[in-house]
Amino acid sequence: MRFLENDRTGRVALVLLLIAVGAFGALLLLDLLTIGPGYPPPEALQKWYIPQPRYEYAENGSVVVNRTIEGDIVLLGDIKERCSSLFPDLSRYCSHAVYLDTVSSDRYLIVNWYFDDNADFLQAEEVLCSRLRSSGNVTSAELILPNKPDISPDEPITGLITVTKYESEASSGYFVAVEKPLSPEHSDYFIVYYGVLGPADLLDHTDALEELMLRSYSLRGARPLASCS
Amino acid sequence: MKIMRPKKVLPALLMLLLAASVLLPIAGAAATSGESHQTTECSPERDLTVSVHTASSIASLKVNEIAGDIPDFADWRNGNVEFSTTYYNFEGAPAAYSFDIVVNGEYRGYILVSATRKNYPILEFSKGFAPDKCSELMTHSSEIAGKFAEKRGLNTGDAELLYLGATFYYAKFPLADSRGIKQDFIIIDLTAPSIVDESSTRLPVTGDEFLQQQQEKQKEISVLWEALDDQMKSPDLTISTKLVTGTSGYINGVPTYLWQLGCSPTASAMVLGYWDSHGYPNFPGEDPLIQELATAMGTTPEGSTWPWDIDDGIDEVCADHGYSSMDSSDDAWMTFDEVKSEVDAQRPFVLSLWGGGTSIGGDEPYGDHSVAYVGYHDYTEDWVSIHDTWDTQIHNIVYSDWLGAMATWVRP
Repeated sequence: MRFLENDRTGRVALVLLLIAVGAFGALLLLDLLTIGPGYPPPEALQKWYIPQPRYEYAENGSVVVNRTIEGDIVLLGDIKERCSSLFPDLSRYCSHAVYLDTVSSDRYLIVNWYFDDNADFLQAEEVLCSRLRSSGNVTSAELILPNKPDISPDEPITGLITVTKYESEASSGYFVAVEKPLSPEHSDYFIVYYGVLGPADLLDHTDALEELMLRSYSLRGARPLASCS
Repeated sequence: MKIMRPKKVLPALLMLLLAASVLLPIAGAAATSGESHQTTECSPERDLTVSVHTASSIASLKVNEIAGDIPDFADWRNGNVEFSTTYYNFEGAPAAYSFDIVVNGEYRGYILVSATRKNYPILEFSKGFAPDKCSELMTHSSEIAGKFAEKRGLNTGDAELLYLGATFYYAKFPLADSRGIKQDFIIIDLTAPSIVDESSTRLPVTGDEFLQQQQEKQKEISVLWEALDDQMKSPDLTISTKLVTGTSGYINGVPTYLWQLGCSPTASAMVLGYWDSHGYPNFPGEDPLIQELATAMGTTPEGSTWPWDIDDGIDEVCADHGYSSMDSSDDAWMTFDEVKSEVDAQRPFVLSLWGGGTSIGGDEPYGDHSVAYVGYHDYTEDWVSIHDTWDTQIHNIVYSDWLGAMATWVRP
């Protein structure tokens, strides 16, 4: 009798084990079959906040580049996958681009530093602030960004962001830091600079810079550089 | 507001890698031909300068090869090459010649041929303009140089154009005193007009790894030039020009959205964004549309989506905006003929890949990824054109360069 009881217990255990293995296998299969996340590689995030040109098909099927970003502002040349000489090389994933206002001939610079490590990001903020203070005037400012024209009517009309304002002879503009903008589950950190090249009154160019910010990836949650505050 | 077309502001689409890929088969052929080129190796004093005439012949040959190899440049076939500019290096020696590509009297782009056998034969080609052809850039550079000269009580002379590699287009202005005697010079970076510190642009010449890389590069360059010599001697220069026959299809107007919340909702939003501007205008803008789709298709916080929920999610969002008639459906057994007919009918769709390969010219495989499908190239090798959520470009990937794929058709 005791032998039979042990035998039955063993069989139940075996069945439970098979069910567990089956369930685990099914979950594994389901996990393998899911699509995504398809996360962008660092080489793409390197220029994530830099407004990119549009690519379209011409009538003959060839691909043409439309460099108009907004209104009279066009991308000048290509997006350069290296840091701008105006600012320090804070990250190996750094890009910059220059834009031209074809009416006023003003030139705008956007620099994107990408970090996949929080400690590197924080250290870069410190280094950058130190360099900015030694080369120009650093203060805090608030910008009111109107929402993108095609935004949902339910969304708030404007968004307020606090930024680090930088003014120098070589370039003046706004720095923002953005943490995990793609997903809270993924460690991505960005420092982005939107500025006008050459000596200029920054207020005269804020509208154009805000337009460029709106043509960038979402700045929701952007903040000023921590070390500059 | 008056919108000025940037007709003169279409700078280079630098395509060095592409150029190299065009030339590599030639290099391979040369390497296996077994022909000796010892005469060149035994001639240390050989002049490595390439004449404009030779460069022009090379440009003509390569323009036809490029037109045959790359569908986007098919319109370059039988284009005329017209000499445009000589670029120099820091030492004043010719570095490159640019030739305009002219088809039926219209400018179609340019090709840059090396002026020295120390560099790759084809340096760049593009449908845009070289920076020195952009009057705004040249004017601005002249102004910067002028101001610099003025501060030193000097005048600027005519600029010499420098080419130091992809994106490194400079203008070197001589600075002369009031008697016209040259005192100094200043170099301006043309692409982002600013003064260049010459010393900072020179490459380091020390370090074993660097020297080894340079030696390997020079070997590769020699092989390419020798193969090109053989090709140029061939009585029939058209032999190497591949004849490409086939068809292409494409859909204009599909927006390019960058990754948000997951690749499947982002790719699906691009498809619905297309319909938003093609008769179904009730959809919200990019950000809220992606958010709605991610919620409707149950995308996880990490960004993964169960593929069979993609069509349900699209249907739900369409219904929410009054388009119940819009029908989306999954097809795990799609064929190339089906995707062609979908493109020909001007209906973009979501393509979900398992183990997706790398796009042509890309360096990162897609893996498990959803993209928006916008075109095809039905040639000897079939390609599909996609918006991949990683940037705004149109990427091509070889059809079936994946372990598995599923189409989510979206049909009004």
